[in-house]
Amino acid sequence: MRPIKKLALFFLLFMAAHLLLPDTGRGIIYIDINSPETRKFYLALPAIMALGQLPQGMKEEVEKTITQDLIMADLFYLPERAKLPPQSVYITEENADFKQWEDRGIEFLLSIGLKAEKDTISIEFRLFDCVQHIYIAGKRYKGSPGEVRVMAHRTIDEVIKQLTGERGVFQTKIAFVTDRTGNKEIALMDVDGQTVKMVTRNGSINIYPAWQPDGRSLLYTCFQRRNPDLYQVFLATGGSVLLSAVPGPNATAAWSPDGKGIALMMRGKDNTELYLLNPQGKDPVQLTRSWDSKTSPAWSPDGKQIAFVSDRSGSPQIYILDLASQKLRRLTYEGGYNCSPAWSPRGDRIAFARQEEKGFHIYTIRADGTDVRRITREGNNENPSWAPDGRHIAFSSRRGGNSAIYMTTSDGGGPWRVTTSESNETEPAWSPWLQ
Amino acid sequence: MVRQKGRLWMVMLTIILLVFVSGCAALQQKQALTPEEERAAQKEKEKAAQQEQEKKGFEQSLAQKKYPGIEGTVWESTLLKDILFDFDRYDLTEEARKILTENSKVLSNHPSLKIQIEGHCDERGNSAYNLALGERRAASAKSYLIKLGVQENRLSTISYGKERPLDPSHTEEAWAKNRRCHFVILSR
Repeated sequence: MRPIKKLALFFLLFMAAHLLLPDTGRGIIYIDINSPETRKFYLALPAIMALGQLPQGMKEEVEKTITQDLIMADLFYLPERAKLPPQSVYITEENADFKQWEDRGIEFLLSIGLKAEKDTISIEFRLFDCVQHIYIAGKRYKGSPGEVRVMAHRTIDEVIKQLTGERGVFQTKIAFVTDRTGNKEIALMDVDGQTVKMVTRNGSINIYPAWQPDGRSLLYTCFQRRNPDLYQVFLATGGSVLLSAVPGPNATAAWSPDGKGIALMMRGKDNTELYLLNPQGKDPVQLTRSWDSKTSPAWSPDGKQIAFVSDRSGSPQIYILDLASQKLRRLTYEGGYNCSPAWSPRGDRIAFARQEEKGFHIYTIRADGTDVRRITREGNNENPSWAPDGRHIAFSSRRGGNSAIYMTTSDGGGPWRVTTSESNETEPAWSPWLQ
Repeated sequence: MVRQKGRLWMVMLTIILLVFVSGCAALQQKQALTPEEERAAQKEKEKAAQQEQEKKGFEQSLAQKKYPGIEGTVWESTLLKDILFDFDRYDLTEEARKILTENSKVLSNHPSLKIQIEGHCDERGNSAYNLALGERRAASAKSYLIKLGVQENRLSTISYGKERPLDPSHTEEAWAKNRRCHFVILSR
């Protein structure tokens, strides 16, 4: 532990030296999110300053969005406003009084201004390092009043990028299954649960949403033609095409990271096997061949391996297929029921759901089968899906009543409830980076 | 000459008559039934009536069914009974075999029927794994029906996993009902 701490300190000092140079900002890592020693930092978010007249409720909406994002980023302690220095103007590099913030233990200061000019709204921020007394970065975003939440998310994504070197996930989306229409349809929302849009509206059973790597379309399985067929829906137009309708399941599809193939479960002899289709849903190649049932393929980010579920041991367990060598290895040994593998975009860990006495819990395990960690504490939790940052995981959870989408970090931060409707929401699929 | 010819005609007529009469006698002999034969004939009649009855009964057992969000309609027959499974199992119980034997009789009585075997699961456990389990259950029922002599091309299968529970409540009783194979008629 000690050497690591020393190393981290050295690292920070090294970075600090760099900060003293002019024109810094890019490439500086204040918060090393890859370090196992990461702690949360004290960030002050003074009240958002209205620079002029604003449409009613806009300031509150931006305030709420930004605060939620900062909480769900799980990188910061956000001290109460009452404990912060009183402040009446928009803080800029000219008027920033670092000392008074530093004295209250604040490490970073995020000043946000909001302005309306005719039909254009602009959000601008200034980010300061109160320990080094440095202005880190500032940006301004412009858009229509309807885009104000998008701009708020963009602000926080940029703040996170300035501090960690990796952008935040608040402009990505989560696809999920909802029964709010009385049947199961695929829907789409922002990662904070807002802007819910129905993706399918066919009144049938629509399940297993899966993203195309470029984020333009979703795969899903629908029973409309009295068979679980595979469809692709394009998000720009909302149009769906039938990709694969072989008798039996065309289900739990997963796009290969390079976009050149679709792994899925299809009918075997008396069982289900894994197959690989081309992007048009044709030319099935059988990947597995044995008596057991197989489901839920999940690609490694390098596209060389596929984690999946098989019941060959007598109960569902997770296995990994190496595509080049065709070799199989078993990943999970503990627990009588392990399912829903999801490979982290960083490649090192696999999230999954394990059934225990009182329901399912989300776990992560290293891809070599070591270091199993449970990351949910309560409820009945299923279907983990990684955010593209490899830090956040969405999952469905039933905590009395209906099932909702929740979010956590890979080390169990939060969790935060994302969907708030009274209907059942399941099977979250976190999008790749969009735009 | 003329007389001789007339006599010849007479002889021939006599022969024809004799043949005819003896033929009739033979026929009469055939139609005279033994008591056993009579019983068999009676049975035949009864069977035909029974078949007629069966057919009527079968027609009455049918109900057209439309699944929400799924194209087309199917028929359900109260004579084609569901079979049930144990938790996380797809092997056939003694009871399931009995029901499948009864179901196979319905199929052999109505050779034009094409049916679909639906594999269903209870709500517990992973959705994808249950879809695979439903496949297994439908395949088990299909194999057994084939073993009982039903032609394979009359049987198709589908797994609904846990997506179409018969009883949506969250009780042991509901779960037991939902772990099933259901039989629907695609065409008659």
